[in-house]
Amino acid sequence: MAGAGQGGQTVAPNLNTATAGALYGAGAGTAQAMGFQPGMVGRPNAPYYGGQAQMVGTGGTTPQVQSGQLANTNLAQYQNPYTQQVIDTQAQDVLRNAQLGLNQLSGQAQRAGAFGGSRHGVAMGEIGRGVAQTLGQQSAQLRQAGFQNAQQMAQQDIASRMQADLANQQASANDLSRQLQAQGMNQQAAENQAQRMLQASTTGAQLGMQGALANQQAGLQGAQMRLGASQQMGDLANLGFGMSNTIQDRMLQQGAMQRALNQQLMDTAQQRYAEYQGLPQQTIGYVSQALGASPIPQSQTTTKQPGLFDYLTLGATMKASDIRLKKNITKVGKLKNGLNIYKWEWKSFAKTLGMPLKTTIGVMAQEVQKLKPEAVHEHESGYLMVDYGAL
Amino acid sequence: MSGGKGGSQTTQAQIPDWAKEPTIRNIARAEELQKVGYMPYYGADVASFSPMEQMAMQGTVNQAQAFGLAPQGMNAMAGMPQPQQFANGLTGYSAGGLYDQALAETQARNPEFQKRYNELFS
Repeated sequence: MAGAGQGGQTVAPNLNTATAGALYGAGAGTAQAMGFQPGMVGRPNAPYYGGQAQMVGTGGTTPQVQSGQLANTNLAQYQNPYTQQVIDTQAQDVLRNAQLGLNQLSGQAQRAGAFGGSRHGVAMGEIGRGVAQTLGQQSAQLRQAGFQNAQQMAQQDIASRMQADLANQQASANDLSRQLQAQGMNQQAAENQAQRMLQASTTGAQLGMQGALANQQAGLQGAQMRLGASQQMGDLANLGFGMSNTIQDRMLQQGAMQRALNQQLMDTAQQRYAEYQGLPQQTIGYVSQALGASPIPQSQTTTKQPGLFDYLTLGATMKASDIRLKKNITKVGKLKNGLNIYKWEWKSFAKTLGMPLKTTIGVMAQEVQKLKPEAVHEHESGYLMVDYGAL
Repeated sequence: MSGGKGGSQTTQAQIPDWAKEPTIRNIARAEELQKVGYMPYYGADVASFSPMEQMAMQGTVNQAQAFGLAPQGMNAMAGMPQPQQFANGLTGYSAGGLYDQALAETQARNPEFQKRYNELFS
């Protein structure tokens, strides 16, 4: 707490916080340790792994096979793309032969001098008709052959597709059959796996129970260890706290000694100031002391105020004081020797006894008899009297 | 138990002539002194807590703070008057200020009374 002083000065860090924290920690640790409740060991979670053994529906389909029709077939794709070219080549050959024939006919006509005649014209027409007929027949034959060829190829194609579709249908049917077999196998495998999982779950539950018991035992041991550690920490904290208190007490004692020294200095200073302040009175007293030391003639006069017993003992000291002679008795005081003082009134017959009855205040004879029997005397009448002078 | 209470005794001294003059001067001096009145003391009256005491007290406060029984940052000397510095490094308190304050308060509340009182010394 270096620098700490009176009147709002800085305060050093609180070193006791660690000790208090240790105490708190020990307490919390103890509470935590004590809070451990072994209890019943619950059965560990043992989930049942149900196998997914369910039939899978046959989702596959077998393709339908439809026979192809030639009427719906485009035969152009089967036509020979060179048919027209063959027809044209063949037509050129026919025309070239026809030209040769015409040329030969023209030569024969010229030699016969009939060129340009009717016969010549008929002959040329006949050649032309033959050529046209030949060309038409050849063209028709070639196209007919191409159409038949295309039709045949188309039919072959249709047959091939039919066969392929049938083969695909068969393959699809085979595939579906295999899928069904595979699903059956999968179902069987799933059931088997579920059975194994159930066994594994049961075994796991047993192992879990054993593990829980082991954990519980370990937890108990850990709790005991934490409890011990907490107690040790608490003991250490208490030790530190006690040391802190001891040191503080010693510091307080030593500090008080220092303050007492300071206070002594201040008291001394105050005393000297008082001496300074009282010096005039003191010097005045010197004269008085000097006068007091000298023999001074004195005369002394003593006056005295009579007290109660002065009055009581005035005249005859023996007075009637028997309680049997008094009435309306009231206690009014007490003497140092313990006797009570009363005031009273005399009973009427008391005046006939010839006893001194001047006072109505004093002591009671019966009480005086117990404390000072020598001061009590009996009157000839049998009643008691008190010698106040003997009290 | 013979006497009652009460009564008085008077002693009369006869001052000799040689002592009369010094006695008169002494009385005159006493009257002068009486006029001086009260000379208050303004020096140190009470020593303040020593540094070790303050440290010990702060330690107690720190312990209380550690256990949540005192506000954080509390100074053990909080609420205490500021000590004065006197000669030789002494620190403490003087009641002089409080005396002056009480005197002023008396003056404010009953000036007539204080006036009559002061006249006794004039």
